[in-house]
Amino acid sequence: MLKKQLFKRFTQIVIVLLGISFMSFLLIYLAPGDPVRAMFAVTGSIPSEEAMEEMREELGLNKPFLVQYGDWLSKCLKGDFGTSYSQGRPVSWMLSERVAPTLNLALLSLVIMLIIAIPIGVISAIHQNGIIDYICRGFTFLSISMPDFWVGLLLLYFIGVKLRLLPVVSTDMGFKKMLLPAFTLGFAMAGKYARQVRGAILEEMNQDYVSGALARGISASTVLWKHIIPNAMLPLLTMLGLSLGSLLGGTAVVEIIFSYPALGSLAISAITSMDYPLIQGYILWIALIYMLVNLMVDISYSYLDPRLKKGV
Amino acid sequence: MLIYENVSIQYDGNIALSNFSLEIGNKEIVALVGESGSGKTSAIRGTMGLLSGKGEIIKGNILFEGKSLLNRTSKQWQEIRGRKISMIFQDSGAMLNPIRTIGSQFIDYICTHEDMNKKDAWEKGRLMLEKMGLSNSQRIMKSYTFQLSGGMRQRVGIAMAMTFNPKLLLADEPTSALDVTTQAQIVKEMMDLRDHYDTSILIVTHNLGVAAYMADRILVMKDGKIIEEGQTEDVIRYPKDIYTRNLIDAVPDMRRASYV
Ligand SMILES: Nc1ncnc2c1ncn2[C@@H]1O[C@H](COP(=O)(O)OP(=O)(O)O)[C@@H](O)[C@H]1O
Ligand SMILES: [Mg+2]
Repeated sequence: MLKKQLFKRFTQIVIVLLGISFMSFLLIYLAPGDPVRAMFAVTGSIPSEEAMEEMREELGLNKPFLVQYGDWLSKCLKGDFGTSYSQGRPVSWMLSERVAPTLNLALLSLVIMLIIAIPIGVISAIHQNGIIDYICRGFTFLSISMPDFWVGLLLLYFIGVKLRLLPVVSTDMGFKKMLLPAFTLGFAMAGKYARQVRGAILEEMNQDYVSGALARGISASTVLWKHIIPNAMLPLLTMLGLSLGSLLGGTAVVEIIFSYPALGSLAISAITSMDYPLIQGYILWIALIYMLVNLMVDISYSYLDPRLKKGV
Repeated sequence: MLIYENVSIQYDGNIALSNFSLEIGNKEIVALVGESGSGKTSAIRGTMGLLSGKGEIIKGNILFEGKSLLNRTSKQWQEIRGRKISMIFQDSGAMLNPIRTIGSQFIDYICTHEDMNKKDAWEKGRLMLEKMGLSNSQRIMKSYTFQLSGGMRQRVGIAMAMTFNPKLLLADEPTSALDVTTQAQIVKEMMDLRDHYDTSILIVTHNLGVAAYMADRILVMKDGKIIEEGQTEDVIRYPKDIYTRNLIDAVPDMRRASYV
């Protein structure tokens, strides 16, 4: 990708982020519910009207909308996303301490998903409409139709409780703690991907270059490994980007089941406690992540597909 | 050298070629002509064991150098495909992986058939391109197919096909996708192959002009059957079948055999 295009993309990202920050600020400004009341509700006390008014003053909630937005934005640019209403800690801390676990979980679950989905998709395609294909498609169907919370609970029960192979609940944030939630997520995604891989491989197999390579005497297995599989993986990149984006937004259900503290459960609690600064910070994070992942996907395509070398 | 004995091919129950018989001798050029869907491609692909979709040879035999080409193991095919028998297609560009360079695929091809390091294979491939009149061979080796013109792609295809000096070249509509000038050049270059490499050629075309210019013998096909065959001169001058006559009349100046 050319430097000029990269610069253009980054400018776009900044503009979109600004737009999204404004929209999110506006939506929350207009939303029903009183954040000050919510803050006191968390502490369990019933405040007087004066105390609440004082609090509003302190938080700047009485100022005109644009001034509030401007204040908030200029702080954001300095890395200060405000203080969480519900926990009284800086939003930037609360988000950033959950970024690493979220990223780790996302990457591990994608790796697990690929380890399951690629072989199944490839084998399924090679044995198109044979018994093995039907078995693989059965798995695909299971993976797509089983809700992830159910997979998670089953895993918890069998691997955690019955077999005691992995900790059910632990405070240790290591690899072991990540395995079950990552497997749950990976399994849930695998069906969709296996189906996609199968389709892509079948499509590649019908391409003329496959006959061409065979006619040149290249062995069928070489054609499969060197041409068909790599070419078939290319269109998956877009899908992988979308999955990564959504995983990096957090996976609330699975996080809650495995009491794994990542961004998804944080977002849920921010919404239920009407923690506006936290919600806004989270929305900005999601927007940023989606655009960065998208950019990464485009950059990878421009390296992997020579037909796109000239531009994105 | 190549003999078809009553070969029938079908796709999912539909006959595409029936009782096809033909014998091609050393250094002979034979043309299969006929409209689209008459079974020409099936005949050629069947020879290489590369029928598309659910195509299968249901009857007859194909013999190459006295041995049947049916029921070959993949190992046995490897000695034939791309080495003793080469194939070129309507669009040789589409016969190469679009996201890998021509050079890398040329090397793969050469190293499949010959114990050679990559550098030598590159050089061998490059020289083949030069022989086919592609002077900027170094650049073409580094190119992707989509970066080349139709004529260049076809020359690359022919260059690859001739790398191992095959006994037989199967050419499926090799000039149909080209403009008239390029078509004439490629036809001439293919004719030269016989003189330089002693290669027999089975060329499929729906262009009777090309067939008349190149071939020693012509077979006219319709609906999977051979409806006329003979020496090129005889078929062009004294066509027996009305269908052949119509084909000939469709080509201007055909009877004077002044094509190209
Ligand atoms: N992959 C395929 N699946 C089903 N039918 C096919 C396939 N390829 C060719 N046919 C059929 O076989 C017949 C002969 O086709 P083909 O050999 O391609 O003829 P030609 O090369 O003369 O145009 C046609 O009727 C065509 O529809
Ligand atoms: Mg054809």
